[in-house]
Amino acid sequence: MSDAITVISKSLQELGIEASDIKPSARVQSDLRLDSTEAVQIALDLKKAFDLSIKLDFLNDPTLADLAKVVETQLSCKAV
Amino acid sequence: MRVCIVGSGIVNACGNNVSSVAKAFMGGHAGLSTVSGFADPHHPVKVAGVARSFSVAEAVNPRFAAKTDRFTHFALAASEAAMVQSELDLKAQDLSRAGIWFGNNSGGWDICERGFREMYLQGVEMINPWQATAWFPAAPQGFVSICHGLLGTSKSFVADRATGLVAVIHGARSLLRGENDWVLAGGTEAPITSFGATCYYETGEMAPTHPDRPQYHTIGPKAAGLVLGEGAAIVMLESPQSLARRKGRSLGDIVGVAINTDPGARHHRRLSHAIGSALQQAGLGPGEIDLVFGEGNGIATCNAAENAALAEVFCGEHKKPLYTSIKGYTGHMYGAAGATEIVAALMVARYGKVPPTLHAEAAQAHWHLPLVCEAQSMRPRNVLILARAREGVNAVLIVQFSK
Repeated sequence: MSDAITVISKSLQELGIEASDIKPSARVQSDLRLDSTEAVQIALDLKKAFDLSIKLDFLNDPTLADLAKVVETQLSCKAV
Repeated sequence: MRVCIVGSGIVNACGNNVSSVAKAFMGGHAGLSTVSGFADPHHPVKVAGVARSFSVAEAVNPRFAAKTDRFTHFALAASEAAMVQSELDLKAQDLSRAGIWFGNNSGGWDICERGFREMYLQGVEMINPWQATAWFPAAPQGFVSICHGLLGTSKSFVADRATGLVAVIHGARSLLRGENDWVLAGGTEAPITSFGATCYYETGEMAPTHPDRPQYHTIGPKAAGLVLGEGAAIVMLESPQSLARRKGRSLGDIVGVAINTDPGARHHRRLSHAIGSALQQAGLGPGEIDLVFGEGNGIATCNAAENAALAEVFCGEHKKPLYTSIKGYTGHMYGAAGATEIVAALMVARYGKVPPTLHAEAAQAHWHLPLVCEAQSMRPRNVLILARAREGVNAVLIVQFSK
């Protein structure tokens, strides 16, 4: 698993989500039913881990893998 | 008036359910303990009624637990117990007729204090997203509503030490007005955090406490102020008509209530009047009250005013009711007090024993009503409960039990 998905997974566990439900293919709304405050907390955990300000867009019900990809793209842009 | 109590739930320093708390109350065992873990190791609050056996993991869904504060956890647990005991299948009912009427005096502080640390150490943009919602005094009402889908007319109350009883009285009135068919009513409080305890300490009303002597003298010559406690007490209320339709059983009926305000803590005339109004509403004379669960909180001014009011109301009676204060067991739980006394009255009816007032042996000479100093057998018919806020708000409620 990528660093980003590791941080997202840890954040979700601290939000009280069952470890067995946390999979790269899990969708944030239809599977995990995350609310806007939980999205903010995940963004804060990503900021702490990568010093990256990121707004997580849940509009199209992304998977955790999709979110990780967004983070990794921003990280690679930052590195350039 | 008549409103039926059909379920109850309780959490405090003495236990997490009615039977464990009743065992402590009837056995004269206080739940107070030495406090540790404050940010300042020299914090002057050394003793409190901490709900040590309460397990958030056992009582609260982890998704809710992560975004709510301790006072909401207590309310969720006590509400669940009250609903279970009511044997009411709420999911089969019209949930727009089920309301929530909770009291809370000072909000929640665990998540808030975490937010303060995040702000000072990491910056304002790093404050957790629950800083506002978890603290808010209406949070327990909101989260119980979300958790159980209850959509009836609901309100939250803040009225210092009268908070819990004020909430139950208004919840009962919402049934009488026909706004709801069922009401979860009561109070919750979790003030034992660095910031919460400091705020209460600054009122100047806390008793000096010593870590080696976890005691709270509520009545008598050694009473020197309050000891804080945390917990919740919630009752499920239902109209007699609704209860009759489903052939349910009432644990006890609320038959008289009153709320008013004295001009200050030293005054007692309006408190006497509130007791008189509640008696009149219940159609009872003072001589028909068997037991009083009083405010009895250790503050000399408060105790004197309460004693004077009781003397005024019961002076002409040949048979005077017994008096007890249970705050010595749990600490004063502010928003959860009053409602806790209602649940304690249900315990007396169920177990046939009155919990004694702790450390009150030397107090009888100064107290107008006969104090319960040892657990005493009783099957009461009418129990009077009273609560009093620091600036003179009075709340009185009478529970009647069937013969």
